[in-house]
Amino acid sequence: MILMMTVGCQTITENANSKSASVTFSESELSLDNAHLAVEVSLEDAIHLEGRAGIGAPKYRVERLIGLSRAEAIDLILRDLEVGSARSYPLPPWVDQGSFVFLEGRYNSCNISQVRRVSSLENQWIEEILLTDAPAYERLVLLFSNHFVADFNSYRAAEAYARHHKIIRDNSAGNMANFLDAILKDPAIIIYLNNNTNFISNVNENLAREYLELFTLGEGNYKEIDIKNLAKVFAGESVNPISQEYEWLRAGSSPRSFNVLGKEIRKPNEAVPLVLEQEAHALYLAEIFFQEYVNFEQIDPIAVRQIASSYYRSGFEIQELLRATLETPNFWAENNRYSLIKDPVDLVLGTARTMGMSDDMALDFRDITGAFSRINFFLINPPNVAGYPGGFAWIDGGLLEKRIGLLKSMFIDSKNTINMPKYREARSSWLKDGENRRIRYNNELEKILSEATPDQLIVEAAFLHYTNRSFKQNTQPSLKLSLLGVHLGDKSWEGITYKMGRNKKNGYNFVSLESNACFPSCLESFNGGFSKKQGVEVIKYDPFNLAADNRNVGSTLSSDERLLMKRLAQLVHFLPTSAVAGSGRFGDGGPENREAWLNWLQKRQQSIGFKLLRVASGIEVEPVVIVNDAAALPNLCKAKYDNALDQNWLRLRREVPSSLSNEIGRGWITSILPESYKLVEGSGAERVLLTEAFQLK
Amino acid sequence: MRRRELLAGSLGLFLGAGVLPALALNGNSRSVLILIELQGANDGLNTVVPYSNDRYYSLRPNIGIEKTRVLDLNGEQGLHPSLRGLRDLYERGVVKIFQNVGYPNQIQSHFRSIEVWERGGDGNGNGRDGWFVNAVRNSTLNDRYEAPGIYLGGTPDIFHGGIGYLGSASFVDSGHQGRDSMLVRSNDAPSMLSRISRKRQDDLQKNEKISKKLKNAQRIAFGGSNLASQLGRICELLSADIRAPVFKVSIGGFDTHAGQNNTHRKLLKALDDAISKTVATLDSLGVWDDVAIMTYSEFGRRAKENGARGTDHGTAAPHFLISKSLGSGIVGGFPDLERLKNGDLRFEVDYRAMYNYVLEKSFGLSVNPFSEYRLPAV
Repeated sequence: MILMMTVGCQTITENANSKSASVTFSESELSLDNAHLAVEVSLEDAIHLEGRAGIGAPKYRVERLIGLSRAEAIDLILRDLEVGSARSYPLPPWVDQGSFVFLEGRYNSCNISQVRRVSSLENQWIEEILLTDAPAYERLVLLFSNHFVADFNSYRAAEAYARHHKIIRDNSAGNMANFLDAILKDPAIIIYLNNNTNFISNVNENLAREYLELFTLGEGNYKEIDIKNLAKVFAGESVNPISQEYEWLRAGSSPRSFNVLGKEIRKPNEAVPLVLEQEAHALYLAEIFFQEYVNFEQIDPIAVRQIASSYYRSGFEIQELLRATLETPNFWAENNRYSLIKDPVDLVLGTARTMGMSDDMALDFRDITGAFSRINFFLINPPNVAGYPGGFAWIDGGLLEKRIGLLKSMFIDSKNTINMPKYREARSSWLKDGENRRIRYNNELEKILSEATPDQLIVEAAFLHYTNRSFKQNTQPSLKLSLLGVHLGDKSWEGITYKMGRNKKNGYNFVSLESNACFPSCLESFNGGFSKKQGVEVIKYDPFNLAADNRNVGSTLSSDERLLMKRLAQLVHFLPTSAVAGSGRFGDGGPENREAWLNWLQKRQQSIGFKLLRVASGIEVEPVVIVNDAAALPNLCKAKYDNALDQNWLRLRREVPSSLSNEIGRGWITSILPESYKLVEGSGAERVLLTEAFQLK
Repeated sequence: MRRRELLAGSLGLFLGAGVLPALALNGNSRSVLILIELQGANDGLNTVVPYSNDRYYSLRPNIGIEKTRVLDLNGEQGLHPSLRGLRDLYERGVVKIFQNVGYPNQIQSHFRSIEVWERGGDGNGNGRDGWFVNAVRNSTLNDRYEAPGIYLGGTPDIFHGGIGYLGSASFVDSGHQGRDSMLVRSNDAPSMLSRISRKRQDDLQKNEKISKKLKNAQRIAFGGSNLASQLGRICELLSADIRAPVFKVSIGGFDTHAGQNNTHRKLLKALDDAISKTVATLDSLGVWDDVAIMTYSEFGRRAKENGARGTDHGTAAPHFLISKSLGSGIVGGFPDLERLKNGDLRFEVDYRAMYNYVLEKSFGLSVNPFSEYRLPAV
C-alpha cells in the first residue's frame, strides 16, 4: 500500500524525483562498515545487549548470546519480535461490553468499575513483562505506548483503553504503515486528542497536530497550514458511544480534498503514505530509537541517518529499525555502556527478571503499581501526550533517592526476590460457576428469541436515563431511554439509546434517534436528509402520526426501520414501571413535575395503543417484551459480566518459569556489574542493587 | 450599546485611576508566586457574581447568590458571601480579578484541561513542559533561589520538564541508612555514572541545607483546611528564607455537579480563610512585598444550573491575583450571559495573558513564551 514496498536504489531515486516525496537517502548510506558485527560477544557485551534490547538481564537470556558474533546475537534477540507478536494476548471479556456500561448510565446496576477493569488489564500487562520469553518485543510495546500516547484517566473507558493497548501490541513489531492506519482509528487516541469533537463545521486540530509533530515527523517538518488542512481531513473520525469502537461520522466530515504537505488528500488514511514519504519521518523514528537504545543525550546524526536509511529501505518495518539501531558501532561503543538511566519498568520489573522470582509469597500487582507510583510512574497514565520524557527526568526531583530506596525495600528487605503468589486453583471452580450462569442465561434468551414473532421487539433490559425536570417550562420536554440487547426479526443490537417527548410549539410527540446511538447501526437509510447536530444525524418524528410530521422524515425509512421506530415508541407502555430507573426518575423535579410526566405518558399510551400481535397458531403476543425487569437485573448482570473476575486478578496466573526463578537469579545478580563499578561496602545483592551504577544500563 | 460595551467603558475609568508604575526589578530580586489550584473546576459565576444582570438569576433560579448577600465590588459584580477576606483585600487595593478567563477550543475533561493550564497549551494543541519551567528556561532566574519550584499539594505536573523541583516529601529526612558508603568513587567511573553520583551528593547537600535552615525556623502552622496547612508550610519556608519562584498548592472538591451551594460555600470559605491568613502572616514576616498569589482551575462551569442544583463542566471563569503592588480591579469585563455558546460563556481573556502579566510584573520577564497574549486594553 505504500509506494516504497519495492526496495532498491532505483525506487528511491524515482521517489526523490517525484513531486511530493523528498527522500534523499543516498547509496553511500546503504553500505555500512559492519566489521564490528563479526566480533565475538563477551559476557559484558551480552549483558549490554540483553539489558538494552530486553527488560532486565536474566542469566539464561545472557548466556545464550555469549560466543556468538554480534550479528548473530542481534538476530537471536530479534527473534523475540516474531515470538511476541505471534503470541495471542487475549483481552479481558469486558472489552466488547462497552455498550452495557454506557447504556446503564450512572445507575451502575452491575457494580462495574472502569478503574477495576483497567487495572486488571494493567496487571495482565505487568505479568506479561515479568514472565515473557520475548522481552525485546515487550520493550517495543513499551516504547510505542509512550509514543502513541493515550492515557486511561482522561476518558475512563476501559474498553477504549484495552483496544488501544491491543493496537500497540499488534503493531509494535510490524510495519509502520499498518501501525499508523490503526492509530488513526484508535478510539482512545481519537478521544484523548479530541477528534470526537472535530467536525468540518467546527474544526479541532489536536489529532492533526500531534499526528505530525509527535507521531510521525517531529517538530519543524511541516507548516501550520498542513495541520489546519489535515484537521479538516480528519473531521468526522469519531467513536461510537455505545460500542466504544471507531466510527466515521459522515455529517461531520467534508467531501473535499485538502492540501497537506504539498499533496491533495481526502481520506484520513491517505495521510499515512503521505508522511512516510517524507525523509523527516525515517529520521524522526531513527532518532527516537537511538535515544531509547543507544544514547539519550548525545545523538549522532550520522548513525541516525544510517538507521533511518535502513528503516526506509525496508518499507518501514519496525524490526529493521531496531536491527539497524543495534547494529550501529555506537551501540557497541565502550562509552555508551552503562550510560542510559533505567526507566521504572527496567528498574522494578527488569530487576525482578534479573534477580529471579518465586511464586510462594504475599506480593501482588498492587505492590508493583504502588512501587511505580512512588517514583511517579503510571503505566497506563502517561503524564501528557508527549509521554514520559525519559533520561535524567527519571531521577530528578528527589527520585534518585526514592529509586534506590525502592530497590532496597523490594529486593533486599524482602529476601532478595519478588514473591508473587500464584493465582489460586480454587478460583477455577468459581470461574466455572460464572461460565455456567452465562450459558444458562443465553439458553433462556435463545428460547425467547426462537419463539418470538418477526415483528416482536425483544429487549433484554431497559434503563431510564433521565426525564426533563420541568415538563411544564421546557418547550420540548423529553426522556431518554437506553435499551440493552435489542432484537427484532433477524436483527440484533448491542444497544440503542433514544429519546421520547413532546414538541409543544408544533404540538406533536416524537421519538428521536441519533445516527450513532445504535450499535450496530439501526437506520440504514439515514442519508443526510435529517437535521444535523455536531456531525451526528438526528431523526425525530412520531411514527404513529406521520401527518404531524411536517418534514415527513418517517416516509423516507424502509418498512423494517419504520417498524423499529414504532416499537421504540411503544416502550412508553412500560414506563414508569418496567424500565430500570437509571439516573432518571419521574420524581425528579418534584411531585408537580412527576404528575405532568405521568399525565403525558397516560395520554401517549392511549394514543399509541398496544395491540397484541396474532401468531399463526392463533396465540396472541405482546408487540414489545422486556426480558429483565428491575428485579431480574442481577441475573443479567451476573450472566453478562462477572465483575469479581477483575477484582481477583491480583496474582500471577502463570507459573514463574524455572529459568526466571530466584534460585538462579540470586547468585546471578551479583555478577551483573563490572567489578570496578561496585560500591565499597555491603555484601551480596546489596553490593550491586544499591549502587548508582545499578540505576544505569 | 450593549451591556458589556457599556461596562468596559466604566471599567476603563475605574482601572485607569488605579494603575501603578511597573515594579522596579533588580537582578537580585527573589519574587515568589504562589499558585493555588482549584481542583475540579471552580464555578466562576457564583464566585464573582454578576448580580446586576437578571439573566444570571434566570439561568440559576435555585443556586444563584441573592443580590442582598453578594459582597459588592463595583456596583455590577460582587463576591460570594464566603469571600469576606478577599473583599477586604480588594478594598485595600491588592486583589486583581481576571474575568472570563479561558482558552480557544475549550476541553471539558478535567485531566486534559488542567494539563492545558499547567503547560500553556490550548484546545488546539498541547504545551510540553510546565508553563513556568518553559518561561525561565533561558534565564538565570532560578539560580537566585533554593529550588526552582516547590509543590505542597496536588500533582507536580506544573513543573513537568523542569529539573530540581521539590515536593512536600523533600523536607522530610528519609532516614536512609549508610548512603555515603554507597557512593561510587567518581574519578575512575564512566561519565554518566559519575554524573549521577555527583547529582546524588548535590541533592543530599541541598536537602541538608534546607533541613538545617528549617530546623532553626519559626514554626508556623495554620489550622483549618488542608489548603491552609499547605499555605502555612509555605509561610514557614519563607520565614526560613527558603524560596522558590513558584510554590504550588491545591484545594480539591470544586466539581460541583449536584447540591452545589453547600459545598461551594465551604470551599470558598476555606480558600478565603487560607488566603487571608497567608497575607497577614507574610505581612508580619516582612516578606509580603515579594509575594503574589494566583488562582487557577481547569475551566469554569456551565452558565445554566442543572437539574441537581449543581453545574456541569463549562468554559471561562474569573481568577484572582493577590499582590501588594499590582493593585485592585476587574480585568476582562462582565460575563456575557446573553451570548452563550452551547450554554457556555465565551472566554474574553486568554489565561496565558495572566501568565504573561505576572512574568513581566513579578519577575521582570517581559519577553516570555506568552508575550503574545495581552490583557484587554482598558
